[in-house]
Amino acid sequence: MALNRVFVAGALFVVAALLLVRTALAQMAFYIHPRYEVLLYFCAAFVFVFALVVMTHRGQLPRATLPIVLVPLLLGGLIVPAPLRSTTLLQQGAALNRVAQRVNSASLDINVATIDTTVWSLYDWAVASSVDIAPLVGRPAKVSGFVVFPGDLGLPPDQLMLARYVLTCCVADAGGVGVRVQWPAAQSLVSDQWVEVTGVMQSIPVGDTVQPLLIATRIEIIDPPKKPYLTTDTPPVSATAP
Amino acid sequence: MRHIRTFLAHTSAWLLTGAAIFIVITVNGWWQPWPDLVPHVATFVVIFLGILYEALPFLTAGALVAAGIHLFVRPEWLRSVLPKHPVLRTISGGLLGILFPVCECGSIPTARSLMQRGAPASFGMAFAMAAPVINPIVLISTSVAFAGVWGWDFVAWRFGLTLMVATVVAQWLPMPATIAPVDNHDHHDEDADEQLPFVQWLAHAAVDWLDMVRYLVVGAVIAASLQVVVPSEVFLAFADTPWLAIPAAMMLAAVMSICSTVDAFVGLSLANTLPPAAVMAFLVFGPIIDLKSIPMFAGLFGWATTLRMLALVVLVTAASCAGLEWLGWL
Repeated sequence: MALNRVFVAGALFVVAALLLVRTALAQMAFYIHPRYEVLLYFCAAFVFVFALVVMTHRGQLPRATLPIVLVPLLLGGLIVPAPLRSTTLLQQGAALNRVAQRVNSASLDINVATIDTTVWSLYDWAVASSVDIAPLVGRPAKVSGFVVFPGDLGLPPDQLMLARYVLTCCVADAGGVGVRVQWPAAQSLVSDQWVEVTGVMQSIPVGDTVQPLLIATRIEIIDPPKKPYLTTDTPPVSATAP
Repeated sequence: MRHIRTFLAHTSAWLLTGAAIFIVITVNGWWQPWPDLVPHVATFVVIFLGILYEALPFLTAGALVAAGIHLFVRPEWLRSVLPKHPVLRTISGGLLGILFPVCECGSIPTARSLMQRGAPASFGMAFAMAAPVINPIVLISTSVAFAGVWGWDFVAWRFGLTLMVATVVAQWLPMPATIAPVDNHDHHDEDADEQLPFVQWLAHAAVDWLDMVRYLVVGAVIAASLQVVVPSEVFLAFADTPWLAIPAAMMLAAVMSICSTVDAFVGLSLANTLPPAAVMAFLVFGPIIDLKSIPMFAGLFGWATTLRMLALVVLVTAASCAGLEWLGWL
């Protein structure tokens, strides 16, 4: 058996193991929409079979297979799996909440007076405020997300941005959603710290626009969730309306 | 002798797999992306792996379908069922995705297998370009996303334009005389004739997969790099300039390199920022060709044909979307 064949087969075994372990440990949630995770088990099984085939067959292998397969192997295997963080949000510029904007506001039948808004996620709040902020003022909120440090966004010292990423497919299409939070001790929090914020929604003029402002009554530091991203197929706010 | 070789290979395979799993678990803490890497590099790693992990199952499915075609579809049968008229034949290639619902990662190996079994290159290219959109899964996702927003006309235009672009480009583009074969298919394995069809199928699929995964990795590196260097906001800055919004949306689709099965929902998130014609360009152009699939197309048709194809797709998509906007049909 040629040495190159042994190395290619070995690399494929590691790729199969990588896909299997990362999926089983729920670490794929850092990279892709959860709907694809089951497909990765199928993929890992076939990559394992392909490695067997490479070992047992004598046909030629495509050129330069090994060095190219080593790229994802090294990046996926040696670097600790981690989700996108606040720095990526800052790199993306002013894209916050664009993923939640709706074209046809009539399709969102929001009757906030009769719904429990404490179960809304940051994505729900962003969708609802893209339609109309006025009915949201005074409603209770309980949301979790990571902190974007006030200094990074030029916010007043008693405000911070609470944000999360929303996925449709994978992190390549990730867009941020977030809400300003008013909290006297905002400076005591650090970027990327996960917190759960309880409070009441208000609004604040920012430039020519009016944006939601969550007046926090309680902030609790929490562990990062196993599934750090929200998804666009999370039941939208209209689904919870009567 | 052969049985001993197979036994040794299987035994060592299981040992290697066990060792691989052990290694993956134990090295799971060597290098933190944050804060060990600079933020741009850390973001690149996460986006690169995201594109790759999302695409690999579809590439695998495509390799399995392609190997099945290679083994079980006879060239004479394929030639007999294809329409005789060249334009109708190309259109039928564009419509074949209804039977093979694959995204771009699966359509390219499938197209190569069809061409190696005797289908004309124009048929294969039309299939590779159109199948990621002309299939039931994308029909449903586009309907769910847009029927209630911009109506069923918008949904129908996405499919009509994709088929039109694929047909025009595949029909008019000069094709290479030969299609790049998978290396292994030229090399006769003396054991192959004795193998069960199931084993032959897996062997073909393995080499197809290895061949295409090279291009996928290169494409994912390019796409992730550009996403880090050129944020999507740069493209969307042109949204307010009508004649720039369409090319900007096409460039955004190429850079994002997302799967066609769900790109309608990403398009929906752009609907408040971009005019309908630009969103249409995003939905038509992205599935046909993006930074992830360009190297895969080049592996199949060669770089010269792929670059000509890219230029034609850009022109036809931009012109048709601008035309629809000018006519007020979007």
